[in-house]
Amino acid sequence: MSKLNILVVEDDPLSREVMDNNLAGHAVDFAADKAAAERKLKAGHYDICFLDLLLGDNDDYSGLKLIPLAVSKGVYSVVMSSCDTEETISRAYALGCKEFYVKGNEQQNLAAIIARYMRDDGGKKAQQVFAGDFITNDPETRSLVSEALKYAATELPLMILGPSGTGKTTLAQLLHGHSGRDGDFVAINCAAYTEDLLESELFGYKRGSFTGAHENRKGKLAQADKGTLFLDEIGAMSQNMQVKLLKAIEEKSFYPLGADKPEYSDFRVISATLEDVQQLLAEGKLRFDFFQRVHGMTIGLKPLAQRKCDILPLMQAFTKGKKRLAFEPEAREHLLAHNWPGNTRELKRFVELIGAGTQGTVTLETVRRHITPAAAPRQGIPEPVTPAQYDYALKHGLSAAVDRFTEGLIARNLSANGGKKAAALAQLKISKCLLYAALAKARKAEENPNG
Amino acid sequence: MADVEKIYHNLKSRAIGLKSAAELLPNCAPERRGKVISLMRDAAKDIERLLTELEAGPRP
Repeated sequence: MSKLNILVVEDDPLSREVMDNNLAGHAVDFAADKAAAERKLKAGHYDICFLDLLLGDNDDYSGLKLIPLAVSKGVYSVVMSSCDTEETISRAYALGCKEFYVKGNEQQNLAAIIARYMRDDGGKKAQQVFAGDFITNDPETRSLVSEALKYAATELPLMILGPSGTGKTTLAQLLHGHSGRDGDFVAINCAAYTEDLLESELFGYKRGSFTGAHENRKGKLAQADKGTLFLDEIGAMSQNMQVKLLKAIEEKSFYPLGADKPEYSDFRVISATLEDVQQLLAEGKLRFDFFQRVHGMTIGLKPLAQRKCDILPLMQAFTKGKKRLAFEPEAREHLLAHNWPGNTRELKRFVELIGAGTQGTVTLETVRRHITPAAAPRQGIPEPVTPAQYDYALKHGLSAAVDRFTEGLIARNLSANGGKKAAALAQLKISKCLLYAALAKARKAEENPNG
Repeated sequence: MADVEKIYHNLKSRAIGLKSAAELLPNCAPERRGKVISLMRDAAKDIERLLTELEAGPRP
C-alpha cells in the first residue's frame, strides 16, 4: 500500500491519538485549530484531510469554513465529527466535502475511506477506465459506469442489462477489479444448463451423490468465496433454482448435492440479462423476491447502434498490438452507418476478418463484403440466427451447430418447466429419443468440458 | 449553537473519544499505552466537568 499524505484537523488530543493510531503507515500531520489548519493546507500537499467541525469548546464550526480551502487545493476532504445534524451534513457536502462520518467507529471507517481513495485515487481512475478497461466515449454510458464504479467496493448486488455483445461481462469483470475483493471472478451462463446441471454447477456436489459423481466437486458459489459470482442470463433460471439461490445469497451458505453439512462462501453477486426484466417479472419467470436480492443497482448498457461514437475507438482497441487498419472515408462512413446488431462482439469479429484478409487501406467494397445489410435484423422480426451461432457453424460445421442449438433449446425449455421432461416433449414436439440423446450429450460435455 | 447544546456536543465528543480509545487500547503499542491512558483520564475529567455544568445549568 502506498503512503498517503494526510492532514487531521482535530482539537481533542485523545481523538488525535486515536486517528494517529488508525492511520499508522501514512504520513500524518495534525492541526488543532483553524489557523494552523489553514497554514498547513496552504503550504502542504495532502491527499486526504480529515476535519472535525467544532475546534474548541466555544468554536463556531471552523471545520466547515476549512472545507472550501481543502477542496481548492485538490485535497479529498472527509468530515469526522460528533455533530451530525441534517443541516450540518448538507452544508458540509454543499461546500465540497466528499464523505461525512460520525466519530466513534474510526477503525473500520478510516480503513474503508483509505481503501476507497486508493482504488479510485480521488476519482481520477474512473476516467482512466474509459480509455482501457471499458472503452466508451458515450457520455450517458460513461456516467452510468462511473456511477456503478462507486458501488464496486460495496457488498450491494449489481444487475447489468443490455443486448448481447454490449459488454455486460466486461463491465462485471471491471466492477470485480474495483471491488477490492481478494477472491476470483467466477462467471456462469445460466441459460447454458438444465436445472439439474445448473444446481450441481452452482452448489457443487459430494462424491457418490449421483451416478457419475466420482469425486467431490466445488461449485461456482464456493469458487467465488471472497470474490464475485457473475450470473449471466438469470432470466433463464427456473423458479425452483431461483428459490435455492435466493437462500444461498441471503445466508451465504448452501448445501452441495449429497452434503449433510452446509458450506459457507462470502461471494458478491453481479447478475445480467438481455431480456426485459419487467416483462420477466410480469410473466412470473423471475421471482420478485429473487429479483430483489440480485438487482441492487441496475446498469443498462446501450447497443452499439445507439453509441456510434464508440465504434472507431473500439476498433482501435481491438487492433492494439496487432496490424493497424486505415479506412477510406466512404468505408468509414459505411461502418458508422451500420447498425451492428451483434454489438461489440460483431465489431470485434469484423476487425479480425478485415485484419486477416486485407492489405493497405480498407476500401468501401471490402467493408461492404464483410458487413452486408442482411446482417442487420429486420424490423420487428426476430433474427433467426445470431452472430454467435453463425460463427460457431463456421468453426465447427452445420451439423455441430444444429446439435448445439437443439440442446440449447431443450435445456432452456427444461429449465423453464422445472425439469419436467413430459412438458418438454409436448411443447417442443420432439421424440423421447431426441430428448434423451440431447441430455446425454450435455452430461458428457459437462463431464469432459475440453473433449 | 446555544450553551447547553455545546455542552451536549462536547459531552458526546469526549464520550465517543473515550470509547474509541478504549477499543484501541488492547492493541496499542506499549510505548504509547501510557500516553493514551493519560489522555483518557483527561477526557474522563472533562466529562465529569461537563456533567457538573449540565446539573447546574437550566434544562434544555
